[in-house]
Amino acid sequence: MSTAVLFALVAAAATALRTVAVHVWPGAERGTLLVNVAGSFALGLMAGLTGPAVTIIGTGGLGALTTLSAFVADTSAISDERGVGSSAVYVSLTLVGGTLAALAGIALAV
Amino acid sequence: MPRHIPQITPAMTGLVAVGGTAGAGTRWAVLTLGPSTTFPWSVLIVNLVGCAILGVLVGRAVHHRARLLVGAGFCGGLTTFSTFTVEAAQLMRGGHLGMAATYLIASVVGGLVCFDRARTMTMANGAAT
Repeated sequence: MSTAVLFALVAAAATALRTVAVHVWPGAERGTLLVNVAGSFALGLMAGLTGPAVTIIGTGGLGALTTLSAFVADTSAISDERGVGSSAVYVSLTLVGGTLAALAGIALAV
Repeated sequence: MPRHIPQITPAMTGLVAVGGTAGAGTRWAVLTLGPSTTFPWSVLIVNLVGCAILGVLVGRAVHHRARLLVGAGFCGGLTTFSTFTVEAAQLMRGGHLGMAATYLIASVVGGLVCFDRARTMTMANGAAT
């Protein structure tokens, strides 16, 4: 199968998986946080690799599994519902967790 | 902002998957065609555009199915968090700490501003018509 077909299939599956994660946890932001941190670690592991597998699994799968738009929408909603303090906690957990996960993945990849 | 999370059905998952594929495909095209610079402009731009589109959807309070297809699907697939954190981590490892900080702030603060601006502008337009 061509890279484009596999890309589409993997991206579709990853998007569906993210939606399931968001619906399984009570409070959408926990699912978003989980996929974002886990996806950052997994993509970090692929650092240094090139080729169709990176396009399909990295750009298609992990790119679609993780999301910045839902993270931003969650942050805005948390700020409206529970105050700026709660949204700051969510932003910090996501950014620090995601960046550390990416660094850990890259370190293990090398 | 209503954040009711209904039960997930196979049809809903299908809508999300179709939108996600279109969004991820668009991101792939932008990353492939975009310039290869040290600062990850292409990722920043798709992320900010995705946040703005999601803001419009939330502001217009569109139908649940449209929100699944375009919001969770297209915007979720278009925007990426993993590429964002790995690019930021690579900038840090490369010693470009200022650029990494700028990228982190531009993505998150920029994303929030794009989302909120799009949402409030759409709400205001909706009220005027």
